[in-house]
Amino acid sequence: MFERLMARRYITEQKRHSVLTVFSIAAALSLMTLLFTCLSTGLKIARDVSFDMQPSHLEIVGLTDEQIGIVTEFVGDLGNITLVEEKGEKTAHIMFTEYIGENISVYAEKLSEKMGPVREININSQLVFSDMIDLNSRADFAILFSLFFVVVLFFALMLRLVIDTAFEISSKELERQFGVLQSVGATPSQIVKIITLEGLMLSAAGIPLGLVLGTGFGYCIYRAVLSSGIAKLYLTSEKINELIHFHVDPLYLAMAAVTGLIWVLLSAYGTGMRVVKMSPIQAISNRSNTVKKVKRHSLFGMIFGWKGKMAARNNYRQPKRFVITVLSLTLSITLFSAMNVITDIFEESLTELSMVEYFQSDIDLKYEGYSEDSTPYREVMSQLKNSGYFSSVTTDIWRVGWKKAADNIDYYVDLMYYAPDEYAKLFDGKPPVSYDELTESGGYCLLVPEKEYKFAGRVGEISVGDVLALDIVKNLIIFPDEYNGYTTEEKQGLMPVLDDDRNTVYYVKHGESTCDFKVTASGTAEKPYADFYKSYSMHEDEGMPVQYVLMVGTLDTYYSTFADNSDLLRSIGFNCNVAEDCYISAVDFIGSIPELEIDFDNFEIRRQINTVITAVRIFFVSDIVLFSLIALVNMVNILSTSVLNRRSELASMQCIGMTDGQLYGMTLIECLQYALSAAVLSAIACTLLIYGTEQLMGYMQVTEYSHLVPDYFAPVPKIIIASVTAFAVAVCSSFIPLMYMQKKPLVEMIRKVD
Amino acid sequence: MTMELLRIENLCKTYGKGENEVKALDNVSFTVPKGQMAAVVGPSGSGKSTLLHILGGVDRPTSGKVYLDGQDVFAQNAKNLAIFRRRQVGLIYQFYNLIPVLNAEENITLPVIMDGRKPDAKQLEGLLEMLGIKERRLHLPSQLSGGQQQRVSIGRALFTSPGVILADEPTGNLDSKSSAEIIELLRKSNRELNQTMLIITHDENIALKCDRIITISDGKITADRLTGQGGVQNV
Repeated sequence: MFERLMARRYITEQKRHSVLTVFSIAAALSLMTLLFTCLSTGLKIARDVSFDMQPSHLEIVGLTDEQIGIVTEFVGDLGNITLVEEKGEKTAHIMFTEYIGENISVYAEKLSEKMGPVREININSQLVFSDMIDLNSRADFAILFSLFFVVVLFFALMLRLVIDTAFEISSKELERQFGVLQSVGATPSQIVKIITLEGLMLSAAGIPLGLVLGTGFGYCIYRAVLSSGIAKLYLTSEKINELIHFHVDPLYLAMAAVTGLIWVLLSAYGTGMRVVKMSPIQAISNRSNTVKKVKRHSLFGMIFGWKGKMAARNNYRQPKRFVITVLSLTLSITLFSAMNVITDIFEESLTELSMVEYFQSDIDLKYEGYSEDSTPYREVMSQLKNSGYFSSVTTDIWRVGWKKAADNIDYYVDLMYYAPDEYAKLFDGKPPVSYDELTESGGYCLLVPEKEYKFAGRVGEISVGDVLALDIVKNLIIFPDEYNGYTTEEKQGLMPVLDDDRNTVYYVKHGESTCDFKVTASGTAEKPYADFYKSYSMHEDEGMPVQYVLMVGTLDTYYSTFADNSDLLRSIGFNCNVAEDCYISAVDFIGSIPELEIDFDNFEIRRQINTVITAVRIFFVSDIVLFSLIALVNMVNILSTSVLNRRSELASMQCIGMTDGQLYGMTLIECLQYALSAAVLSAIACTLLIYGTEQLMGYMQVTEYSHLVPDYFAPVPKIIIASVTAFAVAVCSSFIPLMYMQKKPLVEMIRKVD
Repeated sequence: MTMELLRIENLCKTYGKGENEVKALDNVSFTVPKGQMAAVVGPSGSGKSTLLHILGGVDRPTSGKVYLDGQDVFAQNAKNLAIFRRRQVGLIYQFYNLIPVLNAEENITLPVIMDGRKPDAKQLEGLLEMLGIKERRLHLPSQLSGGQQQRVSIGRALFTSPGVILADEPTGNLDSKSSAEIIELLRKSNRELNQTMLIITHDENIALKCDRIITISDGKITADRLTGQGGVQNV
């Protein structure tokens, strides 16, 4: 067959172009395969996890024998029923094998009416959705697939351009030969057939390669997501190994391959049609590269003069391709910038969070031991310090609510104990009053300067030398054993304190307030302690006048003042920083000390937040890689094709006196136009996104989180980075063919026309 | 005594190596005085176009020298050679080689613009008038006929008032009427502007309209004759 022979010959004759076309097909298809693989893996994991949670579509608990008969009859051939009996209670697990024709909730309701009351009916909605066994799930699946195919279509449009350009490059080279073929009697349909067959033959290599590459890329993303630890937030390691698997669905692969094949056929056919539109003479003389319309004035012309004008006109020669490439670049840059800004906000919030006192250490421990003196506390502290699992252990005795009795206004006062070394550290080794003086006085008051606090309106009323009489409410702790022996009358007014499992740990009896603790305001604290508290305004919402007065006392002062079972002592603890790679051992060690309880596991919280940030980054990076690859491949194809197609024209310009510098300068401006157009559009898109977010937050009345909206200049550095990268790629893709051309004599280049 | 503008000394150009070696130009030497319109004729593959490209500084000779106005053309570096092409030479091709994104006027003024100079509006008007494309000055090459495109190409070659105009089959792609017009135009600019010209042609009638006919065969000058009222005389 003539067409097949010619197609084969052209493939072997134009090896370099054939390889480029195969790789373009493979690149486009690999991205499509990746999309399909991600979908199939996601659906499979969702199904497996839901099946693991409940291994049936419908679970009916507490059935009688008679009801089992009704259920069996009702389900009939639609599915299988597995009966499980546990502690005398019978449960039916129904797995449907056929489409039930209505919504499962309606089905369950009908079944319930027929069989009468049972203890529980559980519908596994996720599994029902995954297996598409009811009306709703089919509708949901249709919506999911519609949305997915909108994404696929969007990708397809951009990816087709990749294949299209590859075909155009190779056909451009053969235009002359197609003209010759037509002039010796080949019909236009035979020419179209040759190009289409060429496309089919190349796709025989490109499509399998694309499927393999796409699957491989998908697997890499799967591994990256898995190693980010995001699954560990929801599942145990054992379950992860059991349920989370990379899944390749042959059906989806086939869908991706068919989509790829359709593209190739359309691109090849389209190229063929374009070629036969030219007359044989036009094709032979290779003068199809005509321009019918140009923009007379352009911004680039105004800025860069004649080089800018020519660059702008060259780029607008193929306006559709220019627009699509700039738009895909814009999308990539906007996504990149938005992703970075979002993750920056995440990280910033995390940093802010770590500035709050609670998050300054890795693990905050609550000390639950009650004693008359501080010895047991000190013992536990030395155990922690000597364990080797912690890089630092500091005391954490603080935040006792006080009421200043003098003017009957409630104040919030922080009364704290610091060990000598911690105390010195607090003031960068230069405390305003020595620790010895502190211990001698027994109680020591340090005023935190007013100017440092937003809500410290009344601090100024306390001066150095003032004696503060502090009102202490001594509550009584009553443990359950003692509580059980109380009469009903005695139990009245006792407040239970519950643990995480809602069990009562102890009861509290509010005591009378006494003014038996006096301290002298002996100095004022300057930075850095004040800095420490700067972002700490958590009492703002409580609506009472707040006065941050820092009381520093010795450990013995605390014990002598509050040791009598006051619940105020509950604020005694430790702040620990975990030594490297010792987190698990440290947690185990803490668990072995009965007096200790983990209050805040900031290490774990930070790890989880970081995991979420990593997962978000992986998700965004995958998307960005996809979009960027498409945009960059398009840009590379278009720019390199543009240079190659214009080689005789560029040579002509050199013949009439254009220097190498001017030639490269003009090409550089062409590249700049791509990058700059995309950058400007991205900046507009980001501005609109930020504005939209602001408006949406206002509409949803959540403006208190307005600090989460980035400022309008936040994406600018990211846009610049991405645009510079795009510009660099553009320059490479233009300069490489240009340098290749420069190696050949001008005469050879110009003869392409002659 | 006529002033010598172009001097070619022992010009050789070889393509390929070993068995595939082809001598496109074999020891070619001649001079062209200022204001002369010379035709270079010869069969296909005789080396005419190679000679023209070398004279225009587009191609480099394997050996030999080319002097334009006493300046050794190939003693210059790539940048200066480009500037030489821009200022000293006007090239006219059979297929015009116009820049498709520039209109007629912009194509004509391109070498001057590339030179960083502002095109002289008066000169441009005069040239467009002479070329007869004043009405088509804002048209793109694709909107012009072959003859009009070749006029633009001639305009581009003339606009910088170069030392020499080199035309490679300037009428090869045109009908006989357009061919006659183009040759008349070249002749006119030769007379009015005292422009030195070297025209490659297959057309004997065109060659006879020139002052001199140089015949090349197998890369060698086989005849060099002056034309005029007294018929053809050997140089």
